[in-house]
Amino acid sequence: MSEINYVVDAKGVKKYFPIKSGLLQKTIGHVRAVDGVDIRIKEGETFGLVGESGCGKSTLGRTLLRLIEPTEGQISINGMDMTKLKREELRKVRPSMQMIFQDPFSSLDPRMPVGEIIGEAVREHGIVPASEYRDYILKIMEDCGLRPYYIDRYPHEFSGGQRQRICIARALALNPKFIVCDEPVSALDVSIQAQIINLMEELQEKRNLTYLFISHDLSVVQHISDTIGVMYLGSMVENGSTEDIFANPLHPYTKALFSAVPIADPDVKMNRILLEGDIPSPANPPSGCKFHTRCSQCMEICKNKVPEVKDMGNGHTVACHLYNN
Amino acid sequence: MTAKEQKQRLKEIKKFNAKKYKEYNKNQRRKRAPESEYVTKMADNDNIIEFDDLKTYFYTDIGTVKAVDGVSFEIKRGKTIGVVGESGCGKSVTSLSVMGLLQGPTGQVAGGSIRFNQVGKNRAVDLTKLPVKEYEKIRGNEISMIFQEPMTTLNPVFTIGDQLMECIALHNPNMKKKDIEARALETLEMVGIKRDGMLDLYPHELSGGMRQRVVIAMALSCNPQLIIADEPTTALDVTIQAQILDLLRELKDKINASIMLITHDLGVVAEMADYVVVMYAGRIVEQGTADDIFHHPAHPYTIGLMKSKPMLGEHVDRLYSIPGNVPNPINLPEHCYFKNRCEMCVDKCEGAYPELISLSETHKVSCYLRENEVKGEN
Repeated sequence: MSEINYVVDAKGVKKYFPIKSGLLQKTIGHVRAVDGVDIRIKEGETFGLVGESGCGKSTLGRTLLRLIEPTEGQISINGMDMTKLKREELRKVRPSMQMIFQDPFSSLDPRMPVGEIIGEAVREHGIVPASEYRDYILKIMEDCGLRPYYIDRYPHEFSGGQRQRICIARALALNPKFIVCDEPVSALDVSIQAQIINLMEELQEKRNLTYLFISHDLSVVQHISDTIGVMYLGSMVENGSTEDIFANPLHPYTKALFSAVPIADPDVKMNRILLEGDIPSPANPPSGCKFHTRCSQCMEICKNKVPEVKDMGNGHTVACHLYNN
Repeated sequence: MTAKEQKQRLKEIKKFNAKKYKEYNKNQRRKRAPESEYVTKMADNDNIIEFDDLKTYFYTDIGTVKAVDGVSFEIKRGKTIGVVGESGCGKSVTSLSVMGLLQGPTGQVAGGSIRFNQVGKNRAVDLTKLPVKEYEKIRGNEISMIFQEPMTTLNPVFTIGDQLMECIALHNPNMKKKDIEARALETLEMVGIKRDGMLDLYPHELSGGMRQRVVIAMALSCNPQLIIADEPTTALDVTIQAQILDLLRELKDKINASIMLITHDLGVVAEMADYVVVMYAGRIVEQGTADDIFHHPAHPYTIGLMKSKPMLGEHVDRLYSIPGNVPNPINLPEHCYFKNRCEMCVDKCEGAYPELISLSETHKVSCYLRENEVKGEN
């Protein structure tokens, strides 16, 4: 096999948040938000990360960019070891990795005009000479479907879809290679969602971008991703190409998750696997396989032993005792 | 527009609003109203509620927002109706108008009527004209509402027992405390979360799915005839959403209630609703049975909505997207509101707003494109 260029290559990433209590703020435990996750993303691909709220998918996205410090593990982005970089070095590599946030209403500074929102970091990092600055911003705005006269307007004058375009423009202005998109379309209406997804796909093709696309909307993830990872309670339970995962979901959790998605056709009656109860607390996760408390195919071994990640061929990996043989 | 004209216009708006506010306040202050004023007749006694040309306007400082502008539909007893549309299309305002929860005097019902069938009392009332005292007897008792965000619906400083029992005690003043508690436990059992000490828990001690179950328990505690569910599962995960939808369906049959389900998720509607109403910019663009809407969508907006949602198990290279944005709700044009985003425009679209026309007994659409189909059939 020829050498594959991985933009993101992380192994055993852990992020524990301490729980402090009492007068002396002693640490009494940890919330294991991300508990040993391996993730690899090829250049120019979209990696879809799905899971319920509280499963650690956003934390993983932020940890990869070192927006929050990982507790343990190796993270390499564009071949650089992120965990060892010092503050000043980190600042220099930041332009090549950007983030798009979920809520376009709170992620834009209401007191800055659009041009400044997009351009602030461009100037800080000296991406283009000062003389070309304005033309550069206008070009980025055009790429993202924003009209040139928007440059002096303020965020409150825009609708949700346009604000998300501004967020995308802000990330793109720095010529990044890797973008973490944390639920970029969840806050938008269906018709606007489609516009933004199309825009993101276009830009990816044009600029050879790599996305980590975090979402709980499975139909959107299926549409945009090449590879999908399913997370449950801080662990990656299944990982593989989009076709493999959707055609042949292996982990009981993945199956239940897919069957829970409502289909826009009144004649389709789903064979639904209903999950009992809620996701357990990540501060006190169940022993053995974390999913065993809600799993319909739970065996004795699941309660005691943590399942290992097994490759089922074609890069499709699953962590479940059902596939031991 | 010059600055002077602008100032003049704002002044006119202010004057107009002041008049509307005064009328509203005068109406609100009335303690009693004769029964003849609000008791009406249903068009069809099988319906639980009938919206007849409902108009809900907001008189704001920069102009009148016609949030709901001439909406008519009805809900049959024991059926579920899904109201779909994008944010700002007036679906939530419609439900708030039913509950009398509009933020007055800015928001008020400007015309039309909402006829509610009080099956137990064998009469029908017009909710838009109902005095406050009468409203209190209906709200939470015969009509109840489930809101989107369970965390903000529940009061964080009271136990869920307090909140559940308050509603029951209010509508059954003669009930003993012991019976009220028993009833509260019964409703918790109905939604599947009865446990010892459950009534003494505070909302923050529950997960999102459990909180929504408590909210549903509150809504069901008085055996309502109509449940209005305003995006009941939007804040929840898909696995929890599946649980809650299952629960709602089961409970509806158990107490024989009707559900008005407001959502933007076409998948949820397809799964739950018998009838579907599609709204756009304050008006109904299409209505019909779930089969009509999902298998024979007639309005370009409905078709666009369906196409723009990626479907599980289907692969398309590029998603269809409806161009443009929802129009500004102030000073809406005379012609069809969807015209500027529509790809199937005909010359006639320049004219007046298209009337709702019937394609079949259940299926209605407001679009000039379909006029010929009606004529062809007759």
